[in-house]
Amino acid sequence: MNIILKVSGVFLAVLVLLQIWVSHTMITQGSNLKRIEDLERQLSQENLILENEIATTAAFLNIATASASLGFSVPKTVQYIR
Amino acid sequence: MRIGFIKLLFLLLLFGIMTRLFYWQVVRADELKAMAEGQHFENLQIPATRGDIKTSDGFSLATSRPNFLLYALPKTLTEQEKKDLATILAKLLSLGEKEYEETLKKEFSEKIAQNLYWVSLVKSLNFDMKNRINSLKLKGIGFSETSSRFYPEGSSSAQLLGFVGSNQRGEDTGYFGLEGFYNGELKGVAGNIRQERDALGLPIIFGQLLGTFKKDGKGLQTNIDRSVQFIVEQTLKRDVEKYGAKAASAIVMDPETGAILAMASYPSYDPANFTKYPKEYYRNPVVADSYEPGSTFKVLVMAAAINEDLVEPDTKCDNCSGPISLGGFNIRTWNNQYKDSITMTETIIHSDNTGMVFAGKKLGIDKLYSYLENFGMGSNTNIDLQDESSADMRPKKEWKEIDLATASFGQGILVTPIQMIRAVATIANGGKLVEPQIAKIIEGDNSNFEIKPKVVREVIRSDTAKILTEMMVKAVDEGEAKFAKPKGFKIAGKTGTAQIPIAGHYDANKTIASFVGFAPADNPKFIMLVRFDQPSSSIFGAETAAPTFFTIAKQLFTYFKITPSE
Repeated sequence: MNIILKVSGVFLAVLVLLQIWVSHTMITQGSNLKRIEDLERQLSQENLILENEIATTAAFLNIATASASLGFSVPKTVQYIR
Repeated sequence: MRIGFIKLLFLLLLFGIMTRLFYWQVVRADELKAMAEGQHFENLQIPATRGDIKTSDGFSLATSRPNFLLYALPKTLTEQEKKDLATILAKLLSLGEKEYEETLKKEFSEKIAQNLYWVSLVKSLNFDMKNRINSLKLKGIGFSETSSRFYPEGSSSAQLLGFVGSNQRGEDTGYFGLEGFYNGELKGVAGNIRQERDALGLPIIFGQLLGTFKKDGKGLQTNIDRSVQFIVEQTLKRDVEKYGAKAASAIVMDPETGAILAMASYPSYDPANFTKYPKEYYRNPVVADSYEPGSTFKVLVMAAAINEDLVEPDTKCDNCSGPISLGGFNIRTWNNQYKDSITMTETIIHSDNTGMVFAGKKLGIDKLYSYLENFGMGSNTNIDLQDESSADMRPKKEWKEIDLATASFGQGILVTPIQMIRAVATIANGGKLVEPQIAKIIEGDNSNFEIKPKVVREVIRSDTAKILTEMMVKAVDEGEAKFAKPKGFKIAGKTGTAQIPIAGHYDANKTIASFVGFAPADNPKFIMLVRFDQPSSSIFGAETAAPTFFTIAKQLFTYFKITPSE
């Protein structure tokens, strides 16, 4: 009976110490969390900006202007191979 | 005595302490609790990102772009720091323009000099500029993220898309077009989070996190074909100038499903800077403007007469040798030429008004009215655009013989372009009235909602549709617009030139010129309506709208890989 009580007491003490250690360690991780949050936001914004740039470059209006400057034009006649 | 005095003193002190504790713990308890929570918790408003509007191939026609509001905290700065901040910011934001730099410097100095905790400096900074300012690690400034609508194809399809503005509460709201119709789906729901913070203002990992997270708006994939839209826009833009028209619009639709493949109108506006344009430009004329359709309407009246077995393609008109006098008016043909015993097919080919009066009389007011209602006249098509509005049809009891006669050739009746193309699509698809649809899929986080094609009703029999198709093919091959037709392709179509009623009478020089048709006639891939408002180079649809129709059609044949069949 005494042994069980002793083991339980030790286990409880270890748990309390562990909880104190974890709390004290993690309490200082707020800055890391903030840094990760900021980084996530920054990367999302960058992705959105890049998507917009790709869309602008791939827009037909842009392609038509670029192709016209390179000498391409709409075909006047189309030959059908039968 | 002394002991008694000391006791009293202690009692008074005890009472004082208890009174003070009562004051803090009870009287000001709520206020102090709120202050403590304000220090421990931070409330974050996280705006939702508005959903994209995409073409059928997934290309974004309207998307979101991050913007930033630059603000200053004047109370945290000394006088010297305020001056330095105004100078640095003005230099950066003026991009080397000396005069502008001075203006900005003055503006910033005045704003920062105010005895305020928070003051807005620049409302819409782009991402690069925000990063440049941020890298300087200036004291007493901050950024808050906002977003604005971005249109990669520029002002393309502005009236189709609509725009995003602020409502009375300052919230982003869609107006007109798709932005207005699907605002509920596109806008999303902003997040409101309450997060526990430490003494340095940093989040506590095991702290409390309450509230709701943001829910971004749903995306919208449309039936709009990017290539078809581009072809239509470019051709229409060029031809509206070529024909000196006041306005123009064009629609391309899949006649089988009602899917709108392209829709364009001129004059247009830039949805990103909509405030710089007249408000009249915001409404989409394709769904909001009613006009008298003129001769394009003849195919519908003829379809009704044939469907009722009242006339056949070879039926001859017995009253078409000259102008028809009716109710004090003389009804003439467009070229004042008359052919006795003209057949119904020839009536459509040569767009003969007298032949149409003959067919209209055969139908009578009751049957014609019923068919017009079934073709969707006088009621909205339920297209998914916010600005749809259609003119009511005059009540049947008010119709007189002259109304029946003029309606038979498309005058004295009002339709919208979307009503007109949908009605003619019944001929292209074998008799079914379909619901025009722009959106194809509403894209959610976990699942997509597909909008299925909808058949409203059957208006004419399939054999009637075939007869009308052949009549329309002949109208293209032998009619006034045959010079512009691409060789080898079987196209069904009809021109229209409707005079515009101005101050109670029709002005012969001001017309709505239009052309409606579909191709290939035997198995239509698309139906298209082109409409010019008051063209000045020619008033006739055969010389303006029809050539534009065929120019677009030629490009669509190549795009859809349709080869000549004749």
